[in-house]
Amino acid sequence: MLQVRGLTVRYRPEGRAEVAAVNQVDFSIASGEAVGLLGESGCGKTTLALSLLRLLPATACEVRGSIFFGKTELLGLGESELRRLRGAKISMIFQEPEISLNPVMRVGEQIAEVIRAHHPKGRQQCLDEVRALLDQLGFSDAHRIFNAYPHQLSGGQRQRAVIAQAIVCKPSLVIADEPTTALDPTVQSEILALFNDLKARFQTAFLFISHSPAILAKVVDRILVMYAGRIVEEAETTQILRHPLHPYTVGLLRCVFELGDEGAFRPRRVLPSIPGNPPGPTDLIHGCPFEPRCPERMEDCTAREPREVKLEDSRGVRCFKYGG
Amino acid sequence: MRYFFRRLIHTMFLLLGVSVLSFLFVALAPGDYFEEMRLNPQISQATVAAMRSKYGLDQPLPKRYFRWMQSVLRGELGFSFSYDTPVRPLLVARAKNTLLLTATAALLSWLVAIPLGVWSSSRKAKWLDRVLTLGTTTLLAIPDLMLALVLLLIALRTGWFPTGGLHDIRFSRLNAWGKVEDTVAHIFLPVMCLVLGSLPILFRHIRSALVEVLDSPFIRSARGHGIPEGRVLFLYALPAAANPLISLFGFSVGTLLSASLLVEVLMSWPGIGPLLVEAILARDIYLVIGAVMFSTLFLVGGNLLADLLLYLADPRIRME
Amino acid sequence: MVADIKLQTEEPLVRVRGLSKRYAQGHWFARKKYLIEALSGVEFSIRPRSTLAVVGESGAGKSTLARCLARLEEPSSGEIWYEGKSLLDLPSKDRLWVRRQIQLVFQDPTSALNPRLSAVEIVAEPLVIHGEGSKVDRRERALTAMEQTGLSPQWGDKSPLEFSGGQRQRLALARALVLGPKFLILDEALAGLDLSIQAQMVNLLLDIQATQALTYLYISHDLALVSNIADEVAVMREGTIIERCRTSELFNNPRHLYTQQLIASIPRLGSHA
Repeated sequence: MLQVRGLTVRYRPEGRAEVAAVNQVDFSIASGEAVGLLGESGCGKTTLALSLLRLLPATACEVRGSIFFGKTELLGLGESELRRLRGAKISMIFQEPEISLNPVMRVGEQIAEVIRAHHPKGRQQCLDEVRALLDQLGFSDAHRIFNAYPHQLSGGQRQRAVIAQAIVCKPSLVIADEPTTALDPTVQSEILALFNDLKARFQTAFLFISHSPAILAKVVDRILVMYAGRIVEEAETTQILRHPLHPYTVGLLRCVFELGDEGAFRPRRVLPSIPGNPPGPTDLIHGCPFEPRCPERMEDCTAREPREVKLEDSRGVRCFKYGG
Repeated sequence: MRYFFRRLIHTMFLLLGVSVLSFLFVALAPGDYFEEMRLNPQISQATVAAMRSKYGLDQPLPKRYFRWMQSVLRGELGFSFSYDTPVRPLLVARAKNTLLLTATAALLSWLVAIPLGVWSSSRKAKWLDRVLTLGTTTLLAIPDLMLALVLLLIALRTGWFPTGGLHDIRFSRLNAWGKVEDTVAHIFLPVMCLVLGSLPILFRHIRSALVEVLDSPFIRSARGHGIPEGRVLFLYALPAAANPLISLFGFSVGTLLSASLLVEVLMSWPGIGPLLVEAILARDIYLVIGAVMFSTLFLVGGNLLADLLLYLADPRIRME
Repeated sequence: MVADIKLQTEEPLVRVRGLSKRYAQGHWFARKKYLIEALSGVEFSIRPRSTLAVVGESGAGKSTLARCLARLEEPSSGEIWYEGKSLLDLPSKDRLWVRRQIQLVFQDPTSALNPRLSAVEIVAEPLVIHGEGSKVDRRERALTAMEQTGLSPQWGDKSPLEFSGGQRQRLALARALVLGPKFLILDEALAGLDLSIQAQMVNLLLDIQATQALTYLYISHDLALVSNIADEVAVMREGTIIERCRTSELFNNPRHLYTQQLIASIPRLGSHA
C-alpha cells in the first residue's frame, strides 16, 4: 500500500551547509500491517515520518525519491490534494500529547473538526460520530472528555483524544511518533493495549516510531532499524528480537531491561551500552556510519558504505559481516 | 464574578489616587484662574481676593481637596470658573464625542489589523509579508501630528471631507439617514488619523503573536489532520494567540485615547481634548482635574473590558 | 555482600523524618482555599556511598521532595538531617557549606545551561559563585570535572548548543561535581535520553560514585533504569512512600499491588526473546 523508494531528505539550516537527514531509504508497508521504526534520537525517524505526510519544515530544501501511496505519488501532489489526504487517508500522532491539542477548543469539537475537514457533514452529525468513537476508545467517562478542554485531562486521556483524532476518518495508514514516551509507565501499557485493539478492529496499517525495542515488540509485526538516516536492518519482529544481525541492533537490544532467568532480578553493575554518540547532522561520514561505535568493525568499514544484503524471509541488513 | 468585584474596588482606589495626584500637580503649577484679573487695572485687588475666597482658592490644599470630594459626591465634580457651571454636564457632553471617536477608531483599527496580521503571519517572509511590514514600519515612523496635518491638507485640497467639527450646520434639518451620513463624513478624518496611527503597533503585535503560535505543535498536528488553512488560522491560531492581544486591546484603548485628545484639538472635534487644552490655558483647575478623571475612567474601562474578554476567551482562566 | 554490611553498620548521611509539604490551591481571591498535600510524612535515610531511588508517576510528589532536600523549597513540617545536622534550622555560617555538599541535577539540562557561556565557563560557574580560586585555577578544575564525566577537554570552549543530549547531561553533571559535593540529587536526570545513552550515563554515575565516595538520591519514573543504579528503592504514590526496600528485594518480591503494576508495566522483550 505504501511504497517508499530511494527517499532522501536534505535540510539546509540557516547559514549552514546542507545535510541529509534521510538517505536513500526504501521500504514498504502492506495494508493492515504494523511496522516499527527503531533508532536513537537524531537518526532521522521523525523526518522520515513527516516526509510521508509532506509536513517537513521549510528548511528541508530537497526531497528526492518516490513515495507511492496506492497508485498516488505523494511527492507529486499539490497543497490542496495533500490537505485532503492528511487525516483522511494517512494520519499522524505526534510526540507529546500535552501540546498536540488546541488549548482553547473543547476536545470533542477538535475531533469533530477532523471529520468536517474531510466530509461535508453537519456539525451535529460530526459531534455524534465523535461521541460514538469516544465510547469505543475505552474512555470511562466519554461525556466529560467530550466537553473538556485539554488542560483538564490527564496525560493518558489526552493521548487517547489525540489517537481519536487520528483514526476518526478511518485512514488506511496511521503514523505514530513516540506515542507513549511522554506518558507514565502504567498509562503507557494501557495505550499500547489500545493500539493493539485498534489494529485488530480497524484494519489500519500503522507505522510506529520508537527508540525502545521493547515497546515496538508489543505492537508491531515488522521492524525497520534506522541509523544516521539509513535503514540498516529490516526483519519480522520475532526474528529481529531473537536473532539480530546488525551490530547496532544487537547493541540496542542489549540495553533493554530484563528480569533475567526465571524472572529473578539480579543487579548488573556494568550496563551494556553502545559507546559514543550517533553522528550529528554536520559530522562527515566515511564508509559505514556506525563504524566508530561498532564493536565488530573490520577494515572494509571505513572504505565505503555497505550495500543492503537481502536474506531469507524478506530480511535485509547493511553490514559487511553479511557481505554488504 | 468576585474577581470583577475586586477589580471594581481597585478601580475606586486608582481613581482616588489619580485625583490626589492631579490635585497636587495642578496646585503646584504657578498661578490660578484669577491671576490674570490681577493684571487688569479695572478690577480692584479686593474684588480678586473676594472672588478667590468665594471659590475657596485661598483655602489650604487639603481643605480644597475635601470640598472638591464633597462636590464629587454631589455629582458635580467641582465648578468651572470660565463656564460658571458645575463641571459634570460640561464634561459629559464632550465625553460622549470622545467616546464615539475613540470607540470607532479602536473598533476599526482592530478590524483592519486582525486580518492583516493573520494574513501576513501565514505568509511569513513572502513578499506580501515584507510589503506589509515595510508599510507599517513607515507608518510607525510618522508622528501623529504630521499624519493629522497631512490628512487635513488632503481634505482641504480635495474638499472630499469636512475638516472640522462634529456636524454640519444643517444637521438638525437632516433626516435620520442624512444625520448618519453627515456624522460619518465628519468623523472620517479624525478616525483615519487615529487608525493609521495605531494600526502599525497592533499589526506588529498580532503578526508576531501569530507567528509564534503557528510554530507550535498543535498547529502542525491540525495541519497534519488536513484541517483547511483558513480554519487553522482563524479557529486554531488566532484564539490561541488571543491572550496577549486582548491585554494589548486594553492598552490600545489607552493610547488611542491620548492620541485622540491631540487629534481632537487638531481637527476641532468637540471632545474632551480641546476642552482640556482650553481649561489648562485658563487655569480652570477643576475642569482640568475633571477631564483627567474622565480620561482615567475611559482607560480603566478599557482594561476592565479586556479582562472580561480574557475571561470569556480562555477556558484555562475561566475554569480557575 | 560487602554492600549489605555497609548498609547495616554506617550512620546515615541523610535522614528525613515526617516530611510534609502542603500547597494552598485556588486563586488568590477565592474564599475557599483547599490544601494539596504534595508530601505527607515522608521518611527515609540514605547511607553514605549508597543510592536511594525514589520512583513514582507524575504528581506523586517526587520533585517536591527533591526541591525540599535541595533547600529550594520550605517543607511544611518534618525534619531533614544531613551528617547529623538539621538542615531546616542551620546556622547561617553552615548554609554555604551545605550548598556545596548537596548538588541537584535536573532533567533536560538544555534550559539550565546558559548558551552564551562556553562549556568550561558553565562548569566553572559554581566556583565563581562560591568565590573560589583564581581564573586559571577555576578553568583547571572545570576541565578536570569535564574529564571525569567523559567530556574531552578539547570541547571546553564549545557552546553547550553544540553538544548532544547525552553530552549536555554530562556537562550538567560536571557542573554539579566541580565543587566536590558529597550528596547528589538526580531529579529525572536521565529521562528523555536514548536507552543506549542512558546505559552509558548509568555506568558513568556508578563509576563516579565509587571513585568519589558520593551518595545519590535518584528520582525517576522509570523503574527499569532505577533497577541498575539503586541500592534501595522507595516507591512513592500521592505524596507518601508506600514501599521501601533493597532493589533486588523489590523486584523479586514486590509487596504492594501498585509496585507490582509498576514492575509489570516495564517494557520488556518478553516472549519474543
